[in-house]
Amino acid sequence: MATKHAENSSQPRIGLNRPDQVLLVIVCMGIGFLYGNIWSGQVVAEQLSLKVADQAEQHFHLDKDQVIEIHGELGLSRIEIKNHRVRFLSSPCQSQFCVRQGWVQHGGETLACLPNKIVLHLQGKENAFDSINF
Amino acid sequence: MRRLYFLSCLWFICACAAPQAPVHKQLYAMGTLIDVSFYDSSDEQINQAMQAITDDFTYMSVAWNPWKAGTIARVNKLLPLQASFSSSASAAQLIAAAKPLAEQSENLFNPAMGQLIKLWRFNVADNISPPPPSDVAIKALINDMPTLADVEVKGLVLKGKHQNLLLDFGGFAKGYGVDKVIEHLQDLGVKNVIVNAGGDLRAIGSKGKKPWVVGIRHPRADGIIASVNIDQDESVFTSGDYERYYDYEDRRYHHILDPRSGYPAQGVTSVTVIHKNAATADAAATALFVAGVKDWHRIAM
Repeated sequence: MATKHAENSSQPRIGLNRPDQVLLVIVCMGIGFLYGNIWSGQVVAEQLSLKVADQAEQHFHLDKDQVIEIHGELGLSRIEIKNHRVRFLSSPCQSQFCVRQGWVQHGGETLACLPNKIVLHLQGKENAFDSINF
Repeated sequence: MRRLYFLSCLWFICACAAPQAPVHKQLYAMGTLIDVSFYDSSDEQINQAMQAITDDFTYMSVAWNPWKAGTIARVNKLLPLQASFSSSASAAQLIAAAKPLAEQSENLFNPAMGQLIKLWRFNVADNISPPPPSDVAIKALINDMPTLADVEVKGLVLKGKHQNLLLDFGGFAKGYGVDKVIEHLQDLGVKNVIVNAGGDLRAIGSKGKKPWVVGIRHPRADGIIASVNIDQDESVFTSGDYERYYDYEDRRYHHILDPRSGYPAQGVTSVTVIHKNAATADAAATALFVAGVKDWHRIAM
């Protein structure tokens, strides 16, 4: 379509006509959409949802690096947010399973200290995972 | 007209990019966190389902725990007497369901080795600590180790055939329980759901046109090692040496015991099994972990 247009004009054209522009925009958006869909597993989470026992959830943005101190059933747990990742820095449980699990960063990932009844759940625009096996 | 076409494309793309999100609910039961993901269920259905899940897991956590005063604890008191007795339907069904899996695994999955678990004190989840038991005590137990074949099940009538019988359904009860809960949810009309019990899960249905996406966490390092798409019905169960353990004199002692040696199974870090049936996946993950690198092919058959 573009070639025909160029033949008709008196001088060669490098620019795109209207339908070409529309097509280009659609193609770019399509690529963006597919990229987001296919690579959603790599997209980092945006928000941390923190729940202690049956209390209401608290939310923290992952943009801000910080250490959250929270009291659970056993005692004080410290949770670190750094570079959009989250981990248990310390917890009063005997097994230390929560601390050893290290960092999580994808939407849908969960960390929990069961003895202290603290559950961390990462949330993104669209979560990379619906459930985590471990 | 072109603008209209452009806008309709834009709308279409946005509509695709923002699908309905699954609803997550959590509860504590069976000494672990149960995480449930619903898709396309009404609020009323979700509330009803969560009540059912809470009731079922609360019952199972006492009934099937050999170290609490439930139906399996009662069975454990009576089996070593080696006489016939009536048990609850729940206990008889649990034992009957585990029997063929124990046999197929050549008893590497052995729910009858509760005495060994007790000797290692792995039955007290909050107090797993060194030192390990003496070699002499371990040898004495494994030289005369009962299996589920020593438990006779005729309907609700049970009979033990070994004096050391002590049933512990760790490595099975969770999977069997998840199956029971999924059945219950299906009866309530729930079609798309994941029931994740402390990391082990069964998923049914899908997220509309998309499959459920399950991440498998790396056993040693940070992050996700693999991702599994589940469409319709599949269970994902992992047995790992990192769940319960202690280090003693530069050696790791974890909770998955090898009935052949009496010691924690060696050579494997983690085994993940994907199977339609959660009970089978649970027992198989345990059996394959114990089988190790050498024997796992044969046992998996």
